[in-house]
Amino acid sequence: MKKNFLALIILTGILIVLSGFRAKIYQSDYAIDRFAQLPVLEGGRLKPIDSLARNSLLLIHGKQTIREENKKQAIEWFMDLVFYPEKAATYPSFRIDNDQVLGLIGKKQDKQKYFSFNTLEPYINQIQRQYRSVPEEPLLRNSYQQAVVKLHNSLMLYMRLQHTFRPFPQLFETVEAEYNHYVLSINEMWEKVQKQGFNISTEDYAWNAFNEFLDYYEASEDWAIVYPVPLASQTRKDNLWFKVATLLAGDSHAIEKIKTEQMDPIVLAYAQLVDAYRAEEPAIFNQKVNLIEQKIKQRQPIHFEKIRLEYHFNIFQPFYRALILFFLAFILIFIGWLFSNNKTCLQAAFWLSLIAFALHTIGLIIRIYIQERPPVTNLYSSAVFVGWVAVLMGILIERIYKNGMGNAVGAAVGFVSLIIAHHLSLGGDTMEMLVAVLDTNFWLATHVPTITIGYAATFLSGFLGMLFVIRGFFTKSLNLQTAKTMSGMVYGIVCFALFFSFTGTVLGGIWADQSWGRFWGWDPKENGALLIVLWNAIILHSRWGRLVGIRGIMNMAIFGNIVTAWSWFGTNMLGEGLHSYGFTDQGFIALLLFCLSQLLFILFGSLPERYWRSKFTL
Amino acid sequence: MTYLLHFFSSIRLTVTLLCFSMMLVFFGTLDQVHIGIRGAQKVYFESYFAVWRYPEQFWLSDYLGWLHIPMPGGYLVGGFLFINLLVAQTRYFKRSWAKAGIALIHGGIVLLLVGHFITHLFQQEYQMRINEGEKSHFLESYYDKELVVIDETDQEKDLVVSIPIKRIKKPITFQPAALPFQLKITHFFFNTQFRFTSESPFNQGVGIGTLTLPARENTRSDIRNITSAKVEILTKDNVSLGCWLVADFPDPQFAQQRFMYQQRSFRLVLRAKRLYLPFSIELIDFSHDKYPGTEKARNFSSKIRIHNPATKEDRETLIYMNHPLRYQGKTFYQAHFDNNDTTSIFQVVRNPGRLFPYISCALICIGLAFQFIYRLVWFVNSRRS
Repeated sequence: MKKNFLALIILTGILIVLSGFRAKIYQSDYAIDRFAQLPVLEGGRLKPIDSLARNSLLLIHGKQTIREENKKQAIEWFMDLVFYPEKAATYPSFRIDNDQVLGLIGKKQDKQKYFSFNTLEPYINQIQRQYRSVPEEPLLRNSYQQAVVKLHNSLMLYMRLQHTFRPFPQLFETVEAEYNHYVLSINEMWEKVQKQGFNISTEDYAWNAFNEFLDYYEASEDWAIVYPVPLASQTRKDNLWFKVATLLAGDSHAIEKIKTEQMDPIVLAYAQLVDAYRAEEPAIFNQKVNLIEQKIKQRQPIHFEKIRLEYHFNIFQPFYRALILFFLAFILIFIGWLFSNNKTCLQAAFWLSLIAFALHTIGLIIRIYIQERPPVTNLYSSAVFVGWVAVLMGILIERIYKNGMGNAVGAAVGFVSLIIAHHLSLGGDTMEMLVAVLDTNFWLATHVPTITIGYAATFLSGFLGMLFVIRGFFTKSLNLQTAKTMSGMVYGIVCFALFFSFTGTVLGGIWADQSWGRFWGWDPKENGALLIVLWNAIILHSRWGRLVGIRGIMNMAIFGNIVTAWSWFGTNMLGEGLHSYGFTDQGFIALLLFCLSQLLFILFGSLPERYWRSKFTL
Repeated sequence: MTYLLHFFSSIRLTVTLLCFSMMLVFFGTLDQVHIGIRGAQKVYFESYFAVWRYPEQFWLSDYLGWLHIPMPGGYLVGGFLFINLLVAQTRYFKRSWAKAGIALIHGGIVLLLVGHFITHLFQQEYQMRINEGEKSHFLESYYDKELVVIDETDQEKDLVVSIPIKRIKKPITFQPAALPFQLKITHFFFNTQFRFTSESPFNQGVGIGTLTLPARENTRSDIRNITSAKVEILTKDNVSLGCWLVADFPDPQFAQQRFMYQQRSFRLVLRAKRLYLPFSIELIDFSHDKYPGTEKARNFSSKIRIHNPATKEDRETLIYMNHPLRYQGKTFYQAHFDNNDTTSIFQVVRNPGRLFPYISCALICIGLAFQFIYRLVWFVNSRRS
């Protein structure tokens, strides 16, 4: 019975993992997966179209899927956006929560929050006007202004993306027809110039037609933000990717080339892709996708495996699955505790955590491989890494103590941090390129992970503190032995936390000294890190000097959660000299609620013994 | 006496002081929102006493605006911690492996505090602005300013008489030894408001038609203070040659105010205090790469040439992010750029206490690692038995 239960749980875990490998997730004749794996340059980074689609939809819609009749994946939404914009304009793409912004477009709150481009189009000028009156400095904006900026940027992104594979809107029935007319126009112009020189009257029909094309394509070049077409190159320099419009008319070379050779084959192939999709010809579409891929391979020696890997990573979503498994593990542990430390439940939960940890690790490794950077490069990846370290520590502690507590807090921190990570991913490309000052793999590999490990360890001890209060105050399960054990665990973890947060802070100081000439500048982020070091030191000194007992240590550990949350997120919200505390920052409410929840735990933890259900003192 | 010994070596004192230092760091961080990082540094860390006021922006500020939290300042807390550490360590010192880690940690902390103190006393920070294709042989202080009178008569070299502004904060009349006239300096304002008026006290140079008024000092790091003063040149017989407005205003006219006296030509400027170097640096090229399709900076780098007549050096090198130039006791860091990527701005630092944090932190890390591994091994052994 017990063995069967264990096997069942492990099987469930593996199934959750495997569900990520679903082979055919698109019900379509179009080779959507192949299209999604085509590489494009955007935001300074070479990525599969799938990533561009997902990040764009996340920014505009807040999710990676959109419900229109049925559930569409980001890539399907994107394909309609770039190939069939008239249809896409009816999809509820834009998410608006702010009631004043809703009022701007004549809608009431609580009715709906997703709107189509068609609904918003009449109000674009108004939104632009509002946008222009918003303060430049983000920290000085109130929540209405932030919402206006968000909507404005979403609209701009939406409109700009339409220029990705061809100038928008198309001038003729098909894009290929438009290009044919363009080539004809160029040749006509050239003949005229041969005959008459450059003295062509501005009334001349051919001259006007040619200039109209030019103006139109130059405007499209300004609008476009994606660089889908590479030119031939011997090296992997990624500044040889071009916008479609640039290769049509962006510079004189383009026009020369079209005249003497022909239209760039990839530009033409993308045009044919658009036409095939609009004419509902999947066979031609798929053929063109293959052609484009071939041509790109011929022109640039890029690492296609990385692009493909990123595509599969996007589909597989290892962090999401790990999140589910952590949650399940946590529930199982609690069930196990309810049934007087049922060993099978605890073991099963341990196995689930191991599987989740494996997923988490694989996800991290893939990110490192794709980015060619150490694991933590921005706020999103710091959240993922904090979770990973905490889970690892939890697993190790579980191996030592075997009482479910290590696993429980590890899974809890893993779960919470992955949820935080998910929220952070809504802001754009999580694999974004790094600004110049961060362009140093050495410090990214030493200072940043060390500090993040310090965060993770402090959170782990804090969650143990919360567990102590829950067990002791609300249940009868905390006896002296368990209390001492937990105290020992917290002590060990705090020592570990002090070492890593101190070392991490020092490494940050050394980096600052090497980079801009001063070891310590008292800036908010540095101060936050110092607070964590100080607090962990205070815990250890208080324990050593017997200034507090076990309960005191636990309360102090819980307070460590507040200190770390402040250091990690709070310090980012402050504006130097701007008289702004960041109250309108999106994460402010969440941070406040978290701190209040921790204070509540400390409150319970501080209540006199007689109110506790467990009696654990001598 | 024993009471004092007990007090200064007690761990209660340590924990109390550590808690105060957390308060200082936390409230100092909050307050830099109003007074900038340098302001917070001066008020909270470079002081004996600090007070935090409940900000207007917080909730219930109408009711809680009276809330002022006093706390001992950085000097007091740091000083007492230093004493506490020394006294406690000497009092409780035990030569045992179990305590070796702790001794190392605290020794490292002492060294860190000493090093910080030395840096505080001796560190000098400057900036150096060079335009592409040009050379510079001086550094400019960030905060210190000077009033200079330059005798430009000689074609080959200038005679620069520099007066630190702390001497001219109050009205003063004096004759510098190297100059044949007196300077009467009044209306000194660290930060200035300018007004146009028909009754201007200035009758020469840029200041004609202008009135100056004092303005509140800015401690934010991105806003400059414009310092100004009224300089009247008086001959030995107290005949006035005119009243000039001097100010470190970015307009180039302010640096070009000239007058003649006894067939010599003089220029009057108020500017950032300069440190002249025995060598010069030429900026050959500044490059600022961005990620394609974005405005995000990928790297900044300056190709420079060092000209040192004394050591006969004439060589090229690169200064870029995370890779400074260390030369003649000073370190040159790529800090900023300007003028559409044609001007490179370096931060130049001379810090004799530079190595202290490295040594002390290495000691502390080793101490921490030693102590915790020691405890870990003890723990594992005790669980086995």
